[in-house]
Order: sequence, then C-alpha cells, then structure tokens
Amino acid sequence: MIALAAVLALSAQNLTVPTLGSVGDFIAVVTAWTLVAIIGLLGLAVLWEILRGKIKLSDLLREAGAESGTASLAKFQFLIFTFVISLSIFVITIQQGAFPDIDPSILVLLGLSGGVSLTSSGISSARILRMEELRVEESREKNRLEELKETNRLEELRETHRHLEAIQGVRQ
Amino acid sequence: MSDDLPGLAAVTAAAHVAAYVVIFGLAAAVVYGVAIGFARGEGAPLGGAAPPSAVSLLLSTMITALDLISNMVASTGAPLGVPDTILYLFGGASAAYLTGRSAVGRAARQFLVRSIPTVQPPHP
Repeated sequence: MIALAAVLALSAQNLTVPTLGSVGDFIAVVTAWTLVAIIGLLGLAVLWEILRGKIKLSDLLREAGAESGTASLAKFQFLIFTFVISLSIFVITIQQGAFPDIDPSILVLLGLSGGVSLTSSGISSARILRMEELRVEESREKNRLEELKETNRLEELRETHRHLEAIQGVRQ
Repeated sequence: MSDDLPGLAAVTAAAHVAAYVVIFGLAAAVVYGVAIGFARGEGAPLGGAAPPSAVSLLLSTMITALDLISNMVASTGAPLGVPDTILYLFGGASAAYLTGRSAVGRAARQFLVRSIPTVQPPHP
C-alpha cells in the first residue's frame, strides 16, 4: 500500500505521455485522478475498518498457534524492516522527486527477514503438531503402565517407564 | 505532459495528501494495535526466558534498522542500502535463531543438559 502510494505520488508528477496533443494530456490527467481515487479510497477503507475494529491488529505479533502471552520475534523484525524500508523509500521519493535506486542489499534484507518470519511460523506449527502427538502418546503409555502394574510384568514395565520418561523429557 | 497542464497541480496535491494520510494512518494503526497487544499482556518479543539467539536477533535487527534510518536521513542521492557486514550480521543472527528454534537446536540443548553433570544437594 505504501509503495503504491509512493508510485502514485510520483506518477502524478512525472507522467509522460506521447505527443497526442490535448486529448492525450486530458486522458493522462483523468487516469491520474482515477488512480488517486482508487488507491486513496482503498487506503481510507482499510483505515476505517481498522478504526471500527473490524480489522484487529493487536495479534499482529502473536506467535503462530501460541495459546497466549508470547509474541514472535521473527514477526517483530519483519514488521520493523517493512516499516523502516518503506518509509525510507517514501521519504527519499518525496525529497528527490524521483524513485531512489534500490540497492540489492535492501532486497536481500527484506528476503531474509520474510524468510525468517515464514520459517519461524513453520517451525511453530510443526512443533504444535509434534506436541499434540506426544501428548496422545504420553496418555497411551500412562494407560499401558497402569495395566502392566496390575499384571506385574517387570521387564515391560521398565521399558514403558523409560519410554514415558523420554516422552516427558521431549515435551519439556 | 506539460507542467502547466490544467488539473496537474490539483491531482499532484491530491496524490500527496492521499499518500500521507494512508501511510501515516496505517503506521499509526499498526503501532497502536501492537501496543494494545503488549498492554493486554501478550508479551514483548523477548518475554520469558529468552535464548541468546533471540537476543542476538533482536540486537542485529535494531542495528540494521538504525543503519537504514541513518542512511535515509543522510541521503545524498546514493542508493538506499546496507553494508555487507551488517547484512552478514543479520543473516548470521537469523540463522542462529532459526537453528535454536528447530528440532536440531532442541536436540543439541537436551544433549548439552544431559552432558553437564549436576551437583546434587547433600542429604541432611
């Protein structure tokens, strides 16, 4: 949205139209107004929905699948870089009246940042699935332990106890 | 397009106003939303027992962001960018953070915890 707005601000200044005379100029101005209206209204609509509480941003940094109380550092750094880079480009665009050259390092940085965020979400999701599997397994082994205690099969009892301890160790 | 074209100044001004309103409105909304989340007790990104890799990622994020901001403030027409060293710093911190969170990191931590002998308290 920010990049589009910067494009818009700039395009309104630097529109170049082939020499079509007054008709071409008129079409260019109408197109610029249409773009301003579309992007501006779209942005205002998003802002309005945020103000009405229809779009909630308070969970923006929440760790994927976390019950409560944990924010994701990966999402936090992605948010920081998104804002710093887009606002920097916007400010420089306004100052210079032209798009600044984007160094490849910026693209690498954004790619790294987005990659970290995505990978971290993947790790969180995989961990949630694994914990659920372990919880089921732990419950099954506990039941088995109770059964074995009644039958007094010592060797199997020790083996199940070891397995249960291993599961609980991983869950911690 | 000629500069004295009727309507050009108006559309330029409208585009600027729309850009400022949308950009700063969205920025304010995001900051407010995240602050509400924190205030509700959702926790800061370093809440709880933060591993060293998380501290490292947070610091390298701040360093990189500050470098970018200073680059932007002192912009002299050079392309907006970050030095390679900063990029390597951030890349290394990110890799360490992800490795620490992955199954490999957890296995390594458990191995280290089991390997380090613990001192038992004396029996009374």
